[in-house]
Amino acid sequence: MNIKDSAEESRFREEVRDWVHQNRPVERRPAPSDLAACRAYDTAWQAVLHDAGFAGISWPKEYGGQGLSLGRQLIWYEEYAKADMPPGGHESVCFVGLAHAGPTLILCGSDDHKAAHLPKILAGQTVWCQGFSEPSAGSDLGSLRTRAVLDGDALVVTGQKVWTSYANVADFQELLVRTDPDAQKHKGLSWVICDMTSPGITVRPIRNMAGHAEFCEVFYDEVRIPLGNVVGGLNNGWKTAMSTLSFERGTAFISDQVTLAAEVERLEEVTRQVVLSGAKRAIDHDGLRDRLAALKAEVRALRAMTYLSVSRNERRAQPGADGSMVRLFYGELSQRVSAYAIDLLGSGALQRDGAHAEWVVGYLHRYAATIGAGTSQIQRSIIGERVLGLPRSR
Amino acid sequence: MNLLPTEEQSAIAESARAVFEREFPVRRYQDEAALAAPLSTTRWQMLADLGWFGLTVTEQGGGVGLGVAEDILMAREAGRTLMSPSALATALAASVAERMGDPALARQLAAGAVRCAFGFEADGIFLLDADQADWLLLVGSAAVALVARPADENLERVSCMDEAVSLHRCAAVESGRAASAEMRQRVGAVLCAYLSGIASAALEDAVAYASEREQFGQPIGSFQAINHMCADMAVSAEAAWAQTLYAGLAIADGAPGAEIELAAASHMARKAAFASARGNIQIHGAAGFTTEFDAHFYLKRCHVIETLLTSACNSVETLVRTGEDDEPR
Repeated sequence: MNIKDSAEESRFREEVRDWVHQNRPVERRPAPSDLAACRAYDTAWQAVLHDAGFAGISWPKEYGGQGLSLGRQLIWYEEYAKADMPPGGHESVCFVGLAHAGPTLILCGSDDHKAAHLPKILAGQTVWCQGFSEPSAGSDLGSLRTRAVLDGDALVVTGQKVWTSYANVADFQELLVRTDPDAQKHKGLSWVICDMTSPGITVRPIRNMAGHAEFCEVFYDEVRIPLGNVVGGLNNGWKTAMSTLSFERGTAFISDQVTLAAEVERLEEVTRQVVLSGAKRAIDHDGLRDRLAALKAEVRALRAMTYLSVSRNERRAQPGADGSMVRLFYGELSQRVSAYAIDLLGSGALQRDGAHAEWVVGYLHRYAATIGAGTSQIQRSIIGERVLGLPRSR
Repeated sequence: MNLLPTEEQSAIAESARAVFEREFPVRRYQDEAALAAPLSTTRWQMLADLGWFGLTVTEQGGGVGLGVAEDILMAREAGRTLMSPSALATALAASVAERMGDPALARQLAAGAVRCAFGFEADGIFLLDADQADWLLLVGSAAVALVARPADENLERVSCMDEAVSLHRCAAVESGRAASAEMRQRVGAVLCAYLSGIASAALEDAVAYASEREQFGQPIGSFQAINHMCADMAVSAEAAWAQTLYAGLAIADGAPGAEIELAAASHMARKAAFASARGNIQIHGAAGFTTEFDAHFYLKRCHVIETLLTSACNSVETLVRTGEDDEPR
């Protein structure tokens, strides 16, 4: 057991640190209220990463990735996040392509699929979105209804998707549709590549409570998709969609941890500056101090949990359900951090666009942290059943 | 970076666990005679024969020559089985004695010939499971010190919330030399590991019960309310153990941030142990409220160890410094 870098890892860490410091863009990412500008920024940045040899660090080399070991991936993500670089994770429009659609094509796609899409994803030339959830199929994804009917050499798609992030700036969509209505639930689904410029697609942005319209409803009115766009086999869509679970080894997660830890550090600085009513310093307020101490402890524990999970992933072929524990812990901790910020700022936090705008918007946005990519209730059930082996609920 | 034990480290933990489960299962406390009775010479020797007490004493000094990581792995196994805290104290004391230049004492402690117990200050000095101990590892936030245990006539036996641990009080002890700051940190890490062991074992007890106990025609563990309680306990226990490992390794490396990592581990380990112990009682329902089930022992031991840990390390003060030294860390 050790927490130190080997000599070789140390050299790699320095190399990454030097690169990120020399190449940090001067311009910050535009606000999410201007998605077109965000797309331009994110894709341009992806091109920079690609040209520097840092695109697809977890992708196999044979598909244009860097094929880095888990240890090196951790180092990359840590140093990248510490240097306050452009968002590399789910805040970038390139996320679905790099972390979901791309890996699915790597694991399940034909050679043609790979050749047509992987290089462009890596180079930031195409943007992908995810068409999975529907109004009546969220946690119960297997019950989705968007229908794809076989017509000659095409599938004709009719239905609706929801919560599709960046659908209005995406070129392609990984789309999960029902191709066999007679099969039981998730057994009748297919994973298809949907060209977002196809006739019959309507995209309607949805405003979230933080005031941004980053995700969308997508309507399909007899959209024709070539059969060749089916990935992983007809009616095998569920397994195809689940294949990415084996791809994600927990390393990218350290970026979220580093960012959250930096946020807690900033909050400590703010706590030391704030004077409450009655001229009492916030840092001397027992309630606030206890909460801050807990957040500092927990953000460190999150790092350790991530390391432990990655350590396990280095030794096994498939990631385990313990990843759910890290995700659940992170989701709820990140909300405690945001709530602390709001409580610390007191009445000043009521003003959305004032000096504390970043904290207010961040706090509102954080409500998604226990909802998206698996609600915390679903995560708990997964932990109870698959980590602890408790009997399934009936 | 690797937070998983090596094969050798796993072997140490596994052989300890096998002996503990066979010879020192938690249900041993169901025997009234075993409650708060000091371990017999034979049973103490069993622990010594594991190599536990000399684990971090050098080989030349009669020990195994291992380090903080192994200390922590053993302490977790000890916590799982609610081992007497004196066993932990003895293992730590052997290392303290060697470092303070008393190899003879180190050897005696390592061999199981002489015992040490924990002491802490709170309106007098309190001693835990000190009946057969000659030495005391006095735990304070400024330092840890190895002192001679006061004579029996100077000790007043008092009843402990944890019936399985004997508690004595005395007015004062002989002063002893303070051990190094690193040693105090190691004591803290070992106590965090013990609490992690409680968290893990109490969770297993809860899961086992919830898988067996049926109501409304199904195991109660299939109900989301119970399932989710266990899931929360599992996350808490995992976070505590991961951070305890990290802190232990930081201490072993002499890293400048080790004190904060220990404070973080202390916070997490205390939370996790209590969450598991309390959740376990709740999940057992009325049965958990009785002494016929072991659940109450896990809970009570949390209080004993927490008292020691908060004596060794004030986590809020360390994590968020105020006063003259007002710099954020």
